[in-house]
Amino acid sequence: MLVAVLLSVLAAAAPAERTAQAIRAGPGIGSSAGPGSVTGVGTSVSDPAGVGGSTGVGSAASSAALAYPTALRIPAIRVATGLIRLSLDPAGVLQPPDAPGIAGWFAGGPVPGDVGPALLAGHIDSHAGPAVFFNLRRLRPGDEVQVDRSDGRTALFRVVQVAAFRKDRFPTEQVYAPTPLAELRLVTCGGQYDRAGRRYLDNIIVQAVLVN
Amino acid sequence: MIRHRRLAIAMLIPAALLVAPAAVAAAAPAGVPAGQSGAYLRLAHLSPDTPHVDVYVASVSEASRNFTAKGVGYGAVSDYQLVQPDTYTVSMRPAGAPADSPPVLTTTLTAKLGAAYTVAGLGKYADLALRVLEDDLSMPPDGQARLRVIQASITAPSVEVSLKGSDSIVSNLAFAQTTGYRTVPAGAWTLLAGPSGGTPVELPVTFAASGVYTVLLVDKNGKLAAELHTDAIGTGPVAPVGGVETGMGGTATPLSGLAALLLVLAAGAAALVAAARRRRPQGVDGR
Repeated sequence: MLVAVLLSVLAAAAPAERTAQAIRAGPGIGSSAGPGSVTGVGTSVSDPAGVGGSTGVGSAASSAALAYPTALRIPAIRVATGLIRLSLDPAGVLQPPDAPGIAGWFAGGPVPGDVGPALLAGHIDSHAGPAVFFNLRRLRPGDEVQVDRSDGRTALFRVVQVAAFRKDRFPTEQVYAPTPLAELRLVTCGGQYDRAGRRYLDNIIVQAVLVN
Repeated sequence: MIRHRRLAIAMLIPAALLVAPAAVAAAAPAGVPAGQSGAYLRLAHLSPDTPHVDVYVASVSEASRNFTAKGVGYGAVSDYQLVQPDTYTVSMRPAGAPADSPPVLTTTLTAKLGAAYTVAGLGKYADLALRVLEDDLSMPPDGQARLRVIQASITAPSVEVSLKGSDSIVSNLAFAQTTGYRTVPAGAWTLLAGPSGGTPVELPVTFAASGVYTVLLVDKNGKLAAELHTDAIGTGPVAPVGGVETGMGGTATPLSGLAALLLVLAAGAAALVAAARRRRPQGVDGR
């Protein structure tokens, strides 16, 4: 009988074991957040693009209204997913993807690759195990994020920061406020899981900036 | 007995691995400040009678952050560069002048995390100044955009800018002056710009909700021209409220992990106790 219990525990532990190894293989989280993570961004530029021309002239909408993101790839954490459209619920809260295996784009904001903070959200886990953004917190500054668009373009971003924020102190301005460059915000859950409220207490927020 | 001991060890290894995700999750730094990645900087040449210049941006603390924009002519506005928060000197030299020659103009800029700046050579050559303009990156109200005017045209002593069918943006703006930002309703407009009280030029524009814009007035072929530059775009027309619920708890460790761990430890201990009990009778027999 004891053996039966042990075997059942072993069986239950198996997926968790893989999970643990996946996490331990990567760099620590604490070191990837905070002011130190911005080192090296935007330095050593010898000739800023666009000087000498009148870039940014004209209306902002134009082609942006037609394009939408179709797929997301994050090689460092082996994410490759399609993207569904996300919207707000009646209370104005972002509706997460309804499936754990796919990420979503907030269609009420900028298109990835266009100027502004484009928002992609995905689950950290399902009821059963890891989901599409389970390893999002393992991203480090410099990691590459690719977003395919319906206009055939692939927008290439580099991570500039990974941080965790309490949901009750969500940094709305930092995530949604205007940005002068084409940027990306990748959001999932993290931190402690509140079993009574059935929710994680933190959001993990990855910020990335367009490089192409 | 050996079988039992092996089993106990086999049990303890997954138990240790189970603890790992809990430890990593606890290390996630909730409430870490600083969201933005750096500061944003762009350069502009807005002096009609000043020849082309080379613009040098130099960090006071770290030379690897330096960059140069060469051969910048009147009317040019660069894209934004992401720069490290730092104090920078911005110097203008005549195009082609040696980098160690005395600059025509120098100013200092302390770039703060998450802030955006436009450094512009503004005014006539005789009284040219390098101006540091802070660009507003705060969120416009829902459905609104934000707009300011930089007047770099010398064709009229003062200019008026308005949106057709709406209020005036500014009615009397002199050369080398700028307005602050004001909110305007997002959407398609016809921008009117011309001498105060005179005939304006028209520019069709579209303001994105949550967009931030600069209307730049410059002279082109001796005539006033209006350009719309996008300073920044936000999440609009309506940004989400609060955080995002993107987890169902299937990998959350506090209960499932701990419970499994305790079970494993108890089982391991039981196995060891069983092994010890089996060994003891043998010892007694041996005596």
